[in-house]
Amino acid sequence: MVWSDTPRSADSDATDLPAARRSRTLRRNSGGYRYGMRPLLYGSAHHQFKYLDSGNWGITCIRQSGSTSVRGVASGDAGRKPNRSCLGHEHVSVFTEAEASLLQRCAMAVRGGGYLMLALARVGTIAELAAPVPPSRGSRGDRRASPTQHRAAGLIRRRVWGPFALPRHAWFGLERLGGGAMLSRHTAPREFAMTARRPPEERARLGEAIYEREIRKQVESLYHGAIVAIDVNTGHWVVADTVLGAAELLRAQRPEATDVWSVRVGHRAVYSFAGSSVRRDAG
Amino acid sequence: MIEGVVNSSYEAIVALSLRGPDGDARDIEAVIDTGYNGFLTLPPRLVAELRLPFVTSAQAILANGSEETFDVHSVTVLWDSHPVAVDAYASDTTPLVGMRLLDQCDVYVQVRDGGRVLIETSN
Repeated sequence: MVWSDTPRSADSDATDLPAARRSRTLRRNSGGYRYGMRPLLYGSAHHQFKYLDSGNWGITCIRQSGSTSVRGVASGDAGRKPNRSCLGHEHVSVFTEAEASLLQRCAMAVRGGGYLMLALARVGTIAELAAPVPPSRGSRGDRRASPTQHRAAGLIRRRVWGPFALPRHAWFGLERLGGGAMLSRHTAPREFAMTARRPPEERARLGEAIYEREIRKQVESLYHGAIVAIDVNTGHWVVADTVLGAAELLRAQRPEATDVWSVRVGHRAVYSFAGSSVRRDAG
Repeated sequence: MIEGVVNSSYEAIVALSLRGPDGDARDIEAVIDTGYNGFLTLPPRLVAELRLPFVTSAQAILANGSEETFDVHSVTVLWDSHPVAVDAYASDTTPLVGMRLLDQCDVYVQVRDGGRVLIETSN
């Protein structure tokens, strides 16, 4: 499997792709989501599911962006407590959609909603978390939940970290696993600037000019339908699969980016109220 | 499951709970618009009340084929009791629920005045 470059502006330093390329193991096992990998292609990592047995621990990064959730899992050896060595080495895999959805639900229940969560779970218990997570910490008196659910829920509660609670290099490791473009450092919506500085028309004019001049040729053939977010003040840009994902990634790389313009590659507009999606070159 | 009703104007209405970044919450009624392929539109007044963070500006194609620039904000929607972060176009109309918010859902509409609207989510 070839680790292809994710297009970005030249001065982007968000990821360390050369380092990733040097690691044959990392490349071979990179089950993390990369842009362009359709959900069905998760199957390319299915052979790694052998690691997802009940003896393994998994650390998962669930980033919810619109209706798209991106999950990467680094699982450690059976019986070992998870530690930093789990990240970026050895066994990298992804959950199935159903498993990740369950884990995501639990993590959200614990956090009371959130945008990006890191949750630690014993992989074999994920299926048992389908039932609602007991509401209170420990909650031994809640007879509706099984002992396994209690243990798992407690585990999740105790082990849900804010992203920055992870060691810095571990978090960057996760970024590399994810291929850079999709798994970025956490930028919650509340960290977005409340307002932009330029009027919308000016953002549109500048953004379109930058896209046509510098970006379009690089992305149009490979990333049709993806979202390009452009900081119109600096020309810095990123590509992701959703509007929120692209803006989040852009601001993770350039926190000062306030005037952001977004384009859906190959289309005249990001969204349409006209009942059809009109290609840019047909317009 | 999310339930709604078809009103006398033949609009399929559902109730949504929104949450802003500071925890402010609002319950709104939104019209299901299958011609809109985004997530949500919200009136600017509501965007300001909830202090929804600006995400980006972007173009949208209107029903008459023209293009218009909108500001996009992020908002958390309580979707079948699960918080989902989506982007919302700021548009001074009745809030619209687009097809992307309905992704992976089954939608049933009894199209008559007072008819029921059911959205079954995959959760």
